[in-house]
Order: sequence, then structure tokens, then C-alpha cells
Amino acid sequence: MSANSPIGRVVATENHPTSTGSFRFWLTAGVNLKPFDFVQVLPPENSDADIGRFYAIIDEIHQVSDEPSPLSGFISSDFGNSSQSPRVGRVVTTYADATVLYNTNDIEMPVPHGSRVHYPDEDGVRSALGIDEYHRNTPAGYITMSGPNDTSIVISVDMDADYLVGPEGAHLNISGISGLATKTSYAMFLLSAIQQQADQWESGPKPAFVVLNVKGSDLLHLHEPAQDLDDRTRRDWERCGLRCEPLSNVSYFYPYCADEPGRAQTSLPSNEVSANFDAARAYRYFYDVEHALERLHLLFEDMDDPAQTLVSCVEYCRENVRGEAPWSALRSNVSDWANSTPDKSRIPVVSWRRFYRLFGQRTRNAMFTELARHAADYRQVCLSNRLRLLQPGDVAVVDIAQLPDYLQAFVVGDVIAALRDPRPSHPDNEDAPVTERGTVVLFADELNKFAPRHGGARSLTGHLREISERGRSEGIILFGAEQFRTSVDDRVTGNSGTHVFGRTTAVESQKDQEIRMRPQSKRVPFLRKGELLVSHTRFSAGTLKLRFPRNAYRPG
Amino acid sequence: MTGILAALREGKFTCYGPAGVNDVDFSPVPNDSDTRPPRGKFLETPRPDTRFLEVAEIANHDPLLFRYFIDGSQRVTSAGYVVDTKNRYLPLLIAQIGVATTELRDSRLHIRHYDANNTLFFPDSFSAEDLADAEAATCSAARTSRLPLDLTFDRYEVDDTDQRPPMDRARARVLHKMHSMEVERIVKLAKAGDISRDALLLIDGSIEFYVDMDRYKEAFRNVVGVAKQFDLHRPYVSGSGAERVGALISRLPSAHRTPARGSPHRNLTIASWYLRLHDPGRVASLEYPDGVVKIEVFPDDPAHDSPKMDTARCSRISEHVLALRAPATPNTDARWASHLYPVHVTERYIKTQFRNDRSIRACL
Repeated sequence: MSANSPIGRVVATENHPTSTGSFRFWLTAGVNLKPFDFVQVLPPENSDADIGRFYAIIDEIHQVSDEPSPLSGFISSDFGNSSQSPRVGRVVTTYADATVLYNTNDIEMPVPHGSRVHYPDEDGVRSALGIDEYHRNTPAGYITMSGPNDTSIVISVDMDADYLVGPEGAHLNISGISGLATKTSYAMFLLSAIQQQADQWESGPKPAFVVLNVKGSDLLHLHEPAQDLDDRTRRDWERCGLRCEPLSNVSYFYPYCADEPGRAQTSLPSNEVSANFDAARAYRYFYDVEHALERLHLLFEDMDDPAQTLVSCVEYCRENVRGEAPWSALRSNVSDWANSTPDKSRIPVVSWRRFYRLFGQRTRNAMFTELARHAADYRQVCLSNRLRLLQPGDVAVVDIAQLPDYLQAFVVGDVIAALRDPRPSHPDNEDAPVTERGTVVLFADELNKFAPRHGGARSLTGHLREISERGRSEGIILFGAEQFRTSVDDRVTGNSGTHVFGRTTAVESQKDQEIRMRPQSKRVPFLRKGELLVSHTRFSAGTLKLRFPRNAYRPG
Repeated sequence: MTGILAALREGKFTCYGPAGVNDVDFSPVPNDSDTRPPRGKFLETPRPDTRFLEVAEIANHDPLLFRYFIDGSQRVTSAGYVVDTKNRYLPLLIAQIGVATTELRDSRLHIRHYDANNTLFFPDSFSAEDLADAEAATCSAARTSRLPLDLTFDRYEVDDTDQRPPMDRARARVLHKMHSMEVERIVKLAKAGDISRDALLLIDGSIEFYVDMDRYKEAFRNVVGVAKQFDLHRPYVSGSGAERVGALISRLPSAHRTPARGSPHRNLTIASWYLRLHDPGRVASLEYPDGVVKIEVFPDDPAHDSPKMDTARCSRISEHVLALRAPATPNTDARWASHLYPVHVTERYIKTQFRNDRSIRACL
């Protein structure tokens, strides 16, 4: 077979006709293809060429023989003689189901029977994916496709930032089981791609980034180059049109720990924390009474409070405590109120006592403190104020990994509220920089923890829903990740313009409608590490199987 | 654009369209009142001393003797009726005839040749001039019809002395044409030196049906006919141990054959024997003749008065036919137990080449 020979022919049968969207073709013997490969289809030799060329993506590949049933096979082998070697090979054929992506003449007609199927050309695939029509190209990885003579054709794939970070569409959701799905790695790759590529965009907002580090020190070295970058990794980055570099303009925010330099509630060793402080790229965030009271309700999000009495206690505190009061005063007041039970008409005595107990437990963390005398030396900052200062291209990593769940929710709620609150960082100071951060991409791993599907419309879920539903117009873009999409609130995941599926369990792939409705859903449990199914609004292919380069920053 | 029937009417023929899609009935009629004596003599040397001979399995490294498989098939479409000069209402048939030759290479079958022909079978009870007019009109109409068809013209005999219904006579003519095409292909293969004693050609069906074998006996020297249908009522042995073929093969064990005997074919002799490929007891749906094939070959000297057939040759051919029982033809084909898989594939290829009845009728 020459390189120009067809690798198969389209077959339209009575039971399985071709359509404008899909067709089936048989493969020439010896040709190897795989699901997600692209093919180009030329009309039959003696037909009208005006119908143009089709480009299609392979959904599934099957092999069929003329054996109608296993019983027939048993009989056929001389009634079950498995050691018998047949003298005549059975007629078998391999055929593939494919989805039409593109027609070069923009014709929407069924693919003609007998059409010639060929390996694709790179330009054709890019046109088929519509990549050349994007306004703000953002590298999203690359496709490895089967080519002639068992070679591979590698094509870089972009997303359109207009549909990834607004204004046309927004939000990204990544799901997959821990470790194998490479969710965090892919999110960081995309952040890197956006950061690098934003300078070349001719229009549209250039985003800043807020990254929540929820486990270990995964995301606490984003500025450091990986030590073991090999040529292949560099080549993969170049293939995507990017520099093999870690993220730039990164600053880290650790929870405040004590009035000592170099200490923080983080997994990083103290020498690395100190080094980051010395390099002025790290801060320790704290909550004084004024800022804590603003978000105090978030501390009790996980508690059952059907009569809203805990909320009433929080409101009472806000109404009766001055912002500049020290924590000792607030704690003393709450203790008194638990005994005297004021505002009995709204708050029963048991609720005060419950509030007192929970308040005591949950504000015992060292990040609930006052501004230190040497705040500048301790790199002590108010998180929300600092986030309001973010500039396009900045990356803020907020470390919450060592905080208990209820404090993680508290901090995340604070981050979201700060991003959604457009006020300047220092309202009293006219010289304070005006908040003009433009778009902010918020990356939140473990989304199921902050916006669980089952757990009522808690305010954090509500915040995330707001971001998902209205964040695009507010310039807040959510890049969320979770192990199981079905455990996250539907409204939070449902508005994503881009869905990424890493390897997951067979049960999850059946439970999750977003996966199940796709023709490639059966492949999801078998994705290899580093392989992702990516569905982007602008992909004419619907879903692509992408690979992406290894991260260029030092792993945790 | 004129249809075939309209073209004939314009040529002053009286003709009618077909009554329905299924008005061509070729169902075979069984004949169980055969009282003829057994045909031919046993001709194997040395003469076997048992009625059933075991057929050995060939070794895995032993290359298969059969290199080529040839099969013919036809799809007949009723094209209506024509009224002849004696006011007889005679059928018109359009037959699509295909003859395919497959070659076995590296355990895979490949199409080697495909010969096809579309023919209108017309009764010959018209004058030569009328027949020539009919031929010109119909072939031209078929070529220019909505779904053009490259049509040839043939005649079937309508003889008052022949008691067969006209449809059977037309059908016989179709088969004759198909056999002619098969023979033509076999002759070409033999002349090209493709078939030899170690590269046999297996033909589907009995070679007894072929005519004019005197001319082609050399071409058929390395041809083996394998028939899956044969006359079960024919006496096999007469006298005290009289037995008909049906009774004989009902006792024939799996992987056994009967001794070869010679059947006269005009002035030639064809050696034939029965071989059981599958035991019907293994599959409840099988009848006793299922799984038995009749093998036919020409002896080395078929024109001799008492031709001989070497037992070793019979056994070798039988062993290699037996080796073709796996893989079996899919059991969706009712004939699977006696239908050799390479033949099935060859036949299937031909059938994929045929146009359906509706598209043929578009020419009418």
C-alpha cells in the first residue's frame, strides 16, 4: 500500500446509514488506528468532487467476522478443538465509527458510500478543529494521531481564551481520580499557557491567577524550575508554542502562625518559607476581628442550623463588637453572651452556648490574631486586601493545606468574597492603588469540599454558584477540580465552557451524565496517566484526547 | 428512455410485466421413486475391503492441496412474459450470473478472478429476424434505462416435445450459461499453469452436470468437485445387500469416506465418493445427510474403459477436503455442515456484486 492509498472505505448500509454527523468505514488490512485519531475522507473516485473533503474523529473501532455467535465458533473449530489451527482464515474486517467534524466545502450532506478514507494532514486537522479561527489562542496540549507506516502525527491544539477566561464563555472543570488524572498538573499547564500567551493577545483581558493549595506542598513551588527537565519535556513545551518555564510573578500566602519570622502553617520547610520571605514573594495572612467578623458566618457553614440561630449569633456579634477590638475582647464578649443570653427573642440560650463552644474551637487557630507590631517583618497581611492588589499576570497561591476543613472553607469564602468585592484595598487611603486587576482565574482543587452536591445551598456553594453563573461578567473565572464530578454541585460544574476528564472509575463514568453522553465515555476508565479528554466550547470535535507537557515547575 | 418491455412492444411483441416480486419459483422437486441400478463400478486400487474408510487428519505443516476455489452463482429476476407465435405465455428472465475464483494465500482467501454477465433469457420460438430485433431493442433499452444495465441476450428452447414447464427450461439455460462461464475460467487457469497436482482447484457442485467434458478433460485433470447435495435415493449397492445412498451415508462415521466408484459421463468416467465432515449427532438440528459431501474427480485416464484411481490419491484429496471443515461456514447458512468455508466466501463475494431485484426491474 502506498502512502497515498486509502486506508479504508466508507460503508453505508441499510442498518447503519451514513449521516451528516457520523459514518462507518472499514479499514485496509494492516492499518492501525486508535480512538480519537483523525481521518480525512475523500469522495469516491467516480463521484462529484464538489462535496469536498470531510474530516472526522474516530469514536470506536470494532472487528467483526462472519461468525454469528460463540456457539458457531465452537462448532466451527471442530466442536471445541481449540488446538486446531484453521487452514483458511476467517473473513474478518476492522471497522471504525467516526464523527464528522468539518467539510472543506461547508457542505452538510451524508458522507457518500465508498468514500476513500486517508490519514489526515496537519493543516486540515487544525481547520477541522477551527483552531485557525480563534481570536486568542491558548495552547491546550497536543494530539498524537496515527499516521502512515505506523508513524505518529503530532498536532498542537489550542483553546480560544475568549471561551476559556471570558468574555464569550468561561470556567473550566477537571475531574478524575487522584494521581492518575493529573488534574492539578493540567490546570497549572493551562495557567502557564495563559500567562505566557496573554502578552501576545491583541485584545481582551489578561488575567491574574489565584491558586488554592489544598494539599501538601503541591503548588508551593510554582516559581521554581523543575530540576529534572529533560529534552523531551522541553520539546513538548515547544511543540505547544510555549517556553519551558515555571510560572512567573508568583506570590505565596501562608496562614499566620506566630509572631516569629519564618514560621507559618504550611508544609514547606521553614528555610524555604524564609527564603520566600526574603525574596519578597511570600506573605502570612491573618484575620483580625474586623475582617473575621465580615466572614464569621463561613466558620459555621458545615453545621446544621435550620433555625439560623448561629447566623443570628454572628449578626449579634457584628452589631455589638467594634472592628478594632482585640480577639480577647471578642472572646470575652461571646463568653458573656453565652451566660447572659441577650436577644432571647431571636436566639435561645442553647444556641448561644453552642455558638460559644464552636466559636471558641474554631477561632483558636493562630491566624486569628491582631496585626503585629512588626507586621512588615513578619510579612503579615490581610489576605483580601492583598488579593485586591493583584495585577494582570500575577499569581497568588493561597496555602490552606494545613488548615482544618472548616477553616479552609472560611479562607476560600474570604478569597471569593475579596475577588467579587471591587472596593479598593485601602478605602481610606487615596493613594492606595485602585483595583484594576481585570479578570482573575481562581483555581480550586477539591471542589467537592467547597461546593458539595449534597449538603444544601450553603453560602460557599452559593458563592461558587454565583461565580459559575455570573463570574464571567464579573471577571472571575473558576478553574475547578475534583475527583468525582457527581459529588459537586451541578450548577457549579454545569456552567463550565471547558470540561476535562481524566481517568476515573467505570461507575463514575456511567453516573456522570457529562461523560456518559459522549461517544467516547467508555474510554474514560482506561485513560493513561497524562491523557485527558478535553471538551472545549470551540472544539468542533466535541471531545479530544490530549496530552500535555510535564510541568516545568518543581513538584511538591 | 424506454424500458425493455416497452421496447419489445414497440417491436410488435406482445408482452406483460412480471406479476410480483416472487413469481420465480425454483424449488427443487424431490424424487424418491428412483429404481435405477447403481451407477458405475468401484475403481479404487487396491480395492478397499471395508465400506467405510477412515480419513486421517493432515499434519499442520502439510500445505493444503487446494489453491483455488471456484463458484458460480446467479440471481434471476422475472422480466415479465412474452406471447409467442403460438400464443404461448412464456417467461422472460434477466439473470445476473457471476463466477468467482478465489485463491488461498497465506491462509487468506483473495479474489483472483471475477467474471460477470447479465443476460436476458428469451424464448426461441420466434423467427430469427424477430429475435434479432428483440435483442437489439432490449439491450439498447437496458443500456439507456434509469439504472443502466449492460445486458446480453440469450435464448432458451421452447420445444413442444419437452414436458418441462417453460420456466424450468429457462432456468436450465441460466445454469448452462453459468457452467459455461465456470468451465471457461477453469480452462484459462489450467492453460496458464496455475492449477496442478499440488495446487488443486475446488469447484462447488458436481462436475457431472458439465457438458462437453471431452473437450475439457485435460483442464479438469486437477479439479475436484465437491457437491453438498446429491441424490439420496439413488441405489448404491444392489443385490442382497442393496442399499441406497441415503441409507449408506446415514451410517457413515465422521471423518470417514466411502470407496471411490466410477460414474459414466458420456464416454468418460468420473470417480466419486462420499465423505462425512461433521457428525450430525453433535448438533440436534442437523439431518443425517448434513455434513456429508460428494467428492468428484476425473481419474488419470477418464476415457479408458476401466479407469483406475489410486487409493492414496483418493485419501489425500479426502484428507485435504476434511481439513477444510474448520473454520466452518457460519451456521446462519442452513447448508453450513456440508458447505465448505472457502466456497461460502467465494459465493458470498459473488452475491455482494449482484444488484438487487428492484434495480434490475428499473430497466423493465
